[in-house]
Amino acid sequence: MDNEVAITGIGLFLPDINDPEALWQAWCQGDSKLTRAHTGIITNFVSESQIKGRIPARVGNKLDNFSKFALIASERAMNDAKLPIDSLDKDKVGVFVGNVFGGWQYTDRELRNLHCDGPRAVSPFQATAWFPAAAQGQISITHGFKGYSKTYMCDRSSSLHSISDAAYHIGQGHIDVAIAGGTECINTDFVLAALAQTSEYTGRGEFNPFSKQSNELGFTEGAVFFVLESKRGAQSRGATIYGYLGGSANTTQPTDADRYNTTEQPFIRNFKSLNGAPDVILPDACGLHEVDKAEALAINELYPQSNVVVPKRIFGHGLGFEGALDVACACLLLKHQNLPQGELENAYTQLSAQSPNSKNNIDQILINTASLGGAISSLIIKKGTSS
Amino acid sequence: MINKEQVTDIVYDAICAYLDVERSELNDASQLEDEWQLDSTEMVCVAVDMEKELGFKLRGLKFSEIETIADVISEVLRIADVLEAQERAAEVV
Repeated sequence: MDNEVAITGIGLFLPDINDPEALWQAWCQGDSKLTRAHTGIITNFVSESQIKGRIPARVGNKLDNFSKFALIASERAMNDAKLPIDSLDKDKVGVFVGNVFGGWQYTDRELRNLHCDGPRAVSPFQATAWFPAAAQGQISITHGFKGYSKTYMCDRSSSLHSISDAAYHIGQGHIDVAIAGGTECINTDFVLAALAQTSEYTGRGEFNPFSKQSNELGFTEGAVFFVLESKRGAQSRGATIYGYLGGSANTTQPTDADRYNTTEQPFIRNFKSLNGAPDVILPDACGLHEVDKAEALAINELYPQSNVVVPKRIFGHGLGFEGALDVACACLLLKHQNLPQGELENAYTQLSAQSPNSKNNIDQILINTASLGGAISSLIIKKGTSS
Repeated sequence: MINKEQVTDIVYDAICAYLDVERSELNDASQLEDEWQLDSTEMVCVAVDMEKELGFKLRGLKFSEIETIADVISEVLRIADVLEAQERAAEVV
C-alpha cells in the first residue's frame, strides 16, 4: 500500500511520565496514581514543577497549561522521530490536536482578576489562551508549520479523530508530515465542576474500568503527540517506525444529552466496517458498568479471541488526549510484543472474559473511544511490514 | 509627584520582568519591537504591570509612538504630568 502512514515519533507529557519507556514501566508496575480530588472526582494532575523551566516565561505568560503540555509533548515527539525540521517543506507539515476543555485554568485566574481588580487586570492574552485551537496555533507558530491543520473537539474521541484525520491527509498527499495527538488540562475548579456533572455516580464507588465492580469515572491530564509521515518518507530517511495507522471508523448512536451509549450496536457497526483481526483491543472502558458492558458484548461477539487491555485503570481517562494515550500504549505493545503482567492478571475480571490469544505475536491493535452523546470511534494500529 | 528616576526604575523593572531578562541586557535605546519582538498586546501587559507600581492608570498611552525604552519613560512622564495638571486644576476649581 503506497499511502501507508507510519508513526515515527512519540512525545508524552503525563503526570510524572515524560517518555514512552516510563509509560511502559508505569503500565507494567500497575500502580495507579489516581486519587480523589477535593471535588470528589478521581483524578491525577501534572505538577507545576514538571512544567517549570520547559517553556520560556515570556511564552508561558500567554498560554494555558493545556497549550504548554501540547508544546512540550509535540517537541518530544519531533525529537523522538529525529525529524529534520529545518529541511522540511513547512507548507506540507500539519498540526492536528484533540482537546475538550480548552484553557479554563487561565480563564479561572483571569476571571478572578476581573472580579477582584476590574477589567484592566485581565490579561489581553485571555482572548487567545482559552480557545481549544490555541495549542494547534502555538505549535504551528513555534515551528513555522503552515500545512493543513485542525483541532477536534468530540469528548474522549477527540484525539483519535486528530490522528486518523492526520493520516488521511498524509495519505491523500495534502501534507507530508503531521504532528498529531491531543492535550488536556483539567486541574481547575471550573473543569472539575463540569466533570462532576458527567456522571451521577461520581464520588460513589470504584474506578476499575471494564470490570463489573466499576461505577465511577477517573480522569488525568497531560498531552500525547506523534509524528506521522508516509511509509515511503519514513523509510527514505531511515526513521524508526513504531507502527502504522490502519483503518478507522466512526459512528453515532444518539443518546440523551450528557449520556454515553449503552448499546453494543454502534461498536459492532464500527468493527464490521474496519474488517480487522485485532490481537489486542484497548477499549474505551469508560468506567461506568452499563456503558462498559455494551462495549464488552460487542467485543465478545466479533473478537472473542482478542486480548483486552485497559491502561486507563492505571492512568485514568485523558479526555482530549485519551485516544492518543491509547495509541501510545498500542505502539509500546507492538514494540515489546507482550502484555503488561497486570493486564494478564486482570484478564479474567472482564465483563466478558477474553481468552488469551493463542498467537505469540502482536500484529494488530484496535482502539475504541466513546463520547457523550453517543459518538463511537475506532482505529487500528498495526505492525509494519518490512517492505 | 513621581520623579523621572522612579519612573525609570518602574519601567525597567516591568519590562525586565516581562522579557525575563536582566536590567544589564537593556538600555534606554533598546528597541522593544525590532530588537525584543515585544508586540502591542505584550506592551499592554507591561503597561498594566507598570500601572500597579505607578499607582495611576496609563490612559492615553501612545503605543504607536513607542519604539525604545526611553520612549516608554517619556510617555509615562507625559501622562504623569497631565494627571498632575488635572489635579492642580481641580484644586483651583
